[in-house]
Amino acid sequence: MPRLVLPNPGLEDRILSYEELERKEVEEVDDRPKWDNKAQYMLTCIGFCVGLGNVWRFPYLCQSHGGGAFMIPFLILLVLEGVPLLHLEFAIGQRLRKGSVGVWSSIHPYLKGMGIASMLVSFLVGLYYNSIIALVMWYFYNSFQEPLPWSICPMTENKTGFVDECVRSSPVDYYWYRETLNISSTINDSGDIQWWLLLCLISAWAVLYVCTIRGIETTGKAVYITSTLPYLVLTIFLIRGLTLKGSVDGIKFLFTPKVEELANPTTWLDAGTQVFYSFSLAFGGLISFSSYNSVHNNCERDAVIISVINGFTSVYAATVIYTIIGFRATEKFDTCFDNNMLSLTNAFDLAETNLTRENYKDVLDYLNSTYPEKVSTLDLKTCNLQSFLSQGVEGTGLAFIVFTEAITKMPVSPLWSILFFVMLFCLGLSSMFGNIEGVLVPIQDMKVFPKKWPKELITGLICIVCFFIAFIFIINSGNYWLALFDTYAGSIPLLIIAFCEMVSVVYIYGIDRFNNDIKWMIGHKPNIFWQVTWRFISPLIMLVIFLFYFVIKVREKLTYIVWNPEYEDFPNLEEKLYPSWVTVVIVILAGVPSLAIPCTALYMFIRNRCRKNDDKQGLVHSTSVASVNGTQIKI
Amino acid sequence: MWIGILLLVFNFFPSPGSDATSGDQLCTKESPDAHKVRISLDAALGNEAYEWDESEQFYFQATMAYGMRKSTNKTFNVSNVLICEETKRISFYFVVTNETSDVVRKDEVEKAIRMVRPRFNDAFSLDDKTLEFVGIEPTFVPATEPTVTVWLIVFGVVMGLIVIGLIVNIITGYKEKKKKARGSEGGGEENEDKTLKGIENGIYCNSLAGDKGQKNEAFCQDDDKLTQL
Repeated sequence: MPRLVLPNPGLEDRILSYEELERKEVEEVDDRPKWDNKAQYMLTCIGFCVGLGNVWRFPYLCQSHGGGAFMIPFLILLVLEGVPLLHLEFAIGQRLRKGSVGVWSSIHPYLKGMGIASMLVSFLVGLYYNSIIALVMWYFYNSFQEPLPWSICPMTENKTGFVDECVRSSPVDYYWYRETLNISSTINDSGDIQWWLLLCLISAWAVLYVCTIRGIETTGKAVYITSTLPYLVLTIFLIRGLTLKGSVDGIKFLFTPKVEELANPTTWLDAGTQVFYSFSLAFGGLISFSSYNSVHNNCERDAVIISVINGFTSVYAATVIYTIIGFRATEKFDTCFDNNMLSLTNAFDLAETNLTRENYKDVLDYLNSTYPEKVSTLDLKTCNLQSFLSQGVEGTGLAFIVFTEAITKMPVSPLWSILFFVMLFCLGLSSMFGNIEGVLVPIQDMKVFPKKWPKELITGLICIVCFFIAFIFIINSGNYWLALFDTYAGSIPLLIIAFCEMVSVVYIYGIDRFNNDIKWMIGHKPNIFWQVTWRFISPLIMLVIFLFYFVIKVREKLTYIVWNPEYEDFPNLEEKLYPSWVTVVIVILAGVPSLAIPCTALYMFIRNRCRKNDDKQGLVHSTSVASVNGTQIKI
Repeated sequence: MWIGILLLVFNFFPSPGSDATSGDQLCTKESPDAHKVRISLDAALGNEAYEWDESEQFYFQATMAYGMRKSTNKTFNVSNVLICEETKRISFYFVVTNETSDVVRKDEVEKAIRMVRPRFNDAFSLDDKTLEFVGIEPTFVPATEPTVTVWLIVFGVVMGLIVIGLIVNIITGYKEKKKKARGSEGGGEENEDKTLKGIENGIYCNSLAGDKGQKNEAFCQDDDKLTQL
């Protein structure tokens, strides 16, 4: 079968040959940083891959797309899409020993745009991700008190009652929307900076700076804690969760398969995007991390191990989350039921113990038939455990509203709250390490700053710039901006970059050369599975996902949900249309990184052409003039 | 079970009568000055719930009279508190009469109840929710305010740790750089020897000789001997 390889002259000059690599390996003349040991590398990659999405996106997707049945598309796409892409990034980073900009420039100078696109995406995602970590820290700081501040409504000024907004919604909602975010009711209404969130933002960026100050030298030590602590906390929560009433209902609800969901294309699309984002591919961070490895490191095995761990973590976290959600749903159901029973008992003056759960329905039916008017005035609510369970939220809503509410009902709540937010903090921080790597290394590769500037200074500059830009997330409408960034900054560009990555490596770098590289690095040629997935299956899946995603996103109306106390259906969130200027922002967020690829290629092409013209001109026009010390000698 | 339900609803069990006979006219459900009391012994005490009998009722009357005394400084007796309309729920209505056998106004009774509410609750080992005076909201316990600053303390601790970490990092980085600078000065000569040796012996350039592709001539400093095409 003819191998399709695009012509790529000069490739050999741009990359180190095997002998040069061996020499560098042996003599260690390289001033490139290195991992202290393999464990650091694995923990850093796992930390980058395992993030907040594993905890609050996967469980929601799993539950809303048919429970146990969702595992099928998830696992299939993990194997066909996640693992090959991961192996590809590891291998190419390890072989070319550069960050994302360096790697793609080495493959072909016109591909520099891919590295720049990765850098831009890492930058945008890092901005809002760290703001979420700031919110996590805010909740963490407030967990050191009993009772937790989100467990009761605050009193009004003159202490006559509870704050109205809180009474109409719930203490956890009020605490999140009012006391934490102090959210406005539209994205137009910017408001000003919330000073408490500013302090949290300072601490978030400061922690990040301390941990990344000297690159992997410092992050390599930090990951021993940030990558392992979440597993410990998840296990503690699992044990605690299983002893709570209703937890098993939650797990059953999560995993009960609804096989008909598999026929729904959205299920497959969501599975594909979840696998893709969950692996933090196309950010450039993984390529960098892999480039610090020894050149004969077995990247194939690493890719498989990390994929398995990532998949396992998603499922494990989902289980833990749903034990707690099951507990919360059961609590709400019990409370609802008890309230109904109490209303009935009080209204009809029945003896306390006579009305029980078992005879409730019969008694209610009887009373409804004999005193229908009286019963209808009672405002009895329908208590349905299934509906409480499917109040499955995702994203910040899960962590800061649903889960915090569940925690308030557990005994010794401050302890569980502290543990939970420490876990979220570690998950987020270890992902941020990868993001910062994806921003810093391209900047270093592109030699934006002079070489003698120490690494600490450059890292500090990046952190400070990001900190100031992140102010947009701590104003009154900050959460709407966060949702905007979350939906558009980190989605479409990544898909494009990943597709370009595959095409570049397979068809521009050359799959034959790539196979030989891997054979030289790890000792055996990649087998038929890798060949098929790299060449056809994974790019095809990426393309399909991108097209579907793009079409869906472009066609849907640009709406967002707001917290509006004046809404008639309050405390439900109101859906509003984005104002027109937001469309411009969306186009910038999604468009600039995506367009960086063709624009940079075009720019390099034009520059190349001009240089060639100049060279030609130089040859024609220059005359050699003998000169001594710069003064011409007239012969 | 249905008979039981019927009996429950229609309260066929005789309710224990109240003391004064004239009170039957004064104490009625519709009386504007009557208060409804609802007691939830089961919810409050569970297995240790006591039986609500005549003695408990007497205790209630006595406590109510005590409350009226405290509030108005006038003499009230157990006989001044009239109870009626009792149900199995344990709920009943009561009115308070004064010396002249007139019903005391509702708001005065309310004032008295509010004044001695904690003692009232304690008397029956109940709380505001389980000893309910319908119409009188339970008093709020004001939340302790100093909780606002707890988070600032934690924040301060975390920032302190961060600053310490930063200083430690910077110092170790600086020290390592100095060590490396000193080390490279001393070892510099050795390195030079190594590279010269490599090139002098022609090892480096020889290793490139057999490869396909172009050779970058600039790296081969001992040129003539090894130039190939």
